[in-house]
Amino acid sequence: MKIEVTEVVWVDEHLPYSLEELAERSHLSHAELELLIDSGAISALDVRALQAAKIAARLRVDFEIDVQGVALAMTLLRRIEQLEVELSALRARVPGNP
Amino acid sequence: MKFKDYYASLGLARGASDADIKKAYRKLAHKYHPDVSKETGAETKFKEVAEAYQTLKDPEKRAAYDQLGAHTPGEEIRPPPSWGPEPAGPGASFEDLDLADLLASLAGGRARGRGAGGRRSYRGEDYELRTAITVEQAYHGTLMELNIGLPEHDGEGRVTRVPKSLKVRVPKGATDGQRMRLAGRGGRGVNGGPDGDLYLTISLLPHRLYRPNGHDLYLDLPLAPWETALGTSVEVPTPGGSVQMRIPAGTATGQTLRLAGRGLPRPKEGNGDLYVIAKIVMPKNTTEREAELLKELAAASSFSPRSGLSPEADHEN
Repeated sequence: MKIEVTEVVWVDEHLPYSLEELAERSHLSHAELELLIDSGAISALDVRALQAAKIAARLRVDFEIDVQGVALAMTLLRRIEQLEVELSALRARVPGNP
Repeated sequence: MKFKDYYASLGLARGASDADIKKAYRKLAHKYHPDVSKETGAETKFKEVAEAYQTLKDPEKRAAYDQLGAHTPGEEIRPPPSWGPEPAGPGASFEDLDLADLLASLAGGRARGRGAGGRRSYRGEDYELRTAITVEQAYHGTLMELNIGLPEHDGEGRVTRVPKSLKVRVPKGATDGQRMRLAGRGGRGVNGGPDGDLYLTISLLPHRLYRPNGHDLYLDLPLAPWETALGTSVEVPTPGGSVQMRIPAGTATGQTLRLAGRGLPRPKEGNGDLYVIAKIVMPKNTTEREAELLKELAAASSFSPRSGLSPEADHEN
């Protein structure tokens, strides 16, 4: 078994991807990506756009839903994520919480 | 090749209808899809469910799978001769093949889009992995070994899982939910296309002392009533080693004191803060002398801790 040491790059430091790169890496079409960006489900300038595009592609294929449905699911997922971040910040402040 | 019971994965009997298969899959996907589920082990469970559905929803693959008959999951089986010859080459045999990969290549063989035959080049797939590290590892950075099974194409359109061990240097600066990219460590590119990347999502393991929030940490600090009343200086643990901290006189339970720059390091520069939450604790047993002194204090003090609870307090405010 070959072992090699790999250096990593923080995703936050990566430059935003172009529409072409997003399409190639997520397997979404340009039209689908544009719809997701127009609806606000994906922010093209966000360094996490690729992660969001991949989630969108997985939801579309795995749940067999159209892009409008994916856009709604993505918006709701993002709200859940924001609430979770807020909840975990509040939990950290509560004494005696493991 | 190990047998997998795809019907059992979807909770169905072998003769299930196409509609039942779809219904069972949808129900389980809602429960276990890793992008929407918080269930423990959701990812593994979803992979199993999705793999079963990929085969059973496709009439061609389902018919091929049904040819195998019923076996115990994990039982070593040999595919029927109609599935093609055993893979050639040193060390290659049916034993190394994955049932889902083989079924996919059988179906793909008749309508191959992006196999070895095409001229177009494709970028390799990106892969996603998750790993958990301790607060100390996040603070100092760490070298970790990841054991993964990456699919590789054998040139015949067949896929084998190649075990790979990657040593990854996680620099200091990680915190819960942080994502890292290992460039070129994903799937191999096809026909000269670039290799995909491997994405690693970090989570922090729960710590006995610290509760992380981004790069800040929270710590409960137990203090004796006289320490908070009179003020003191105490030793406080931090991930970078203990520091001496001044507790001002009159500190109350729940009050938060900040040790600037004593939290987790940020990726570029600086550190988060360590927030110390004062917690006044009493000794379980008091000695006679302690009880005497406390009685003396009770008699001498005019402090009224519950004045805010009296009905008159409302009028005062």
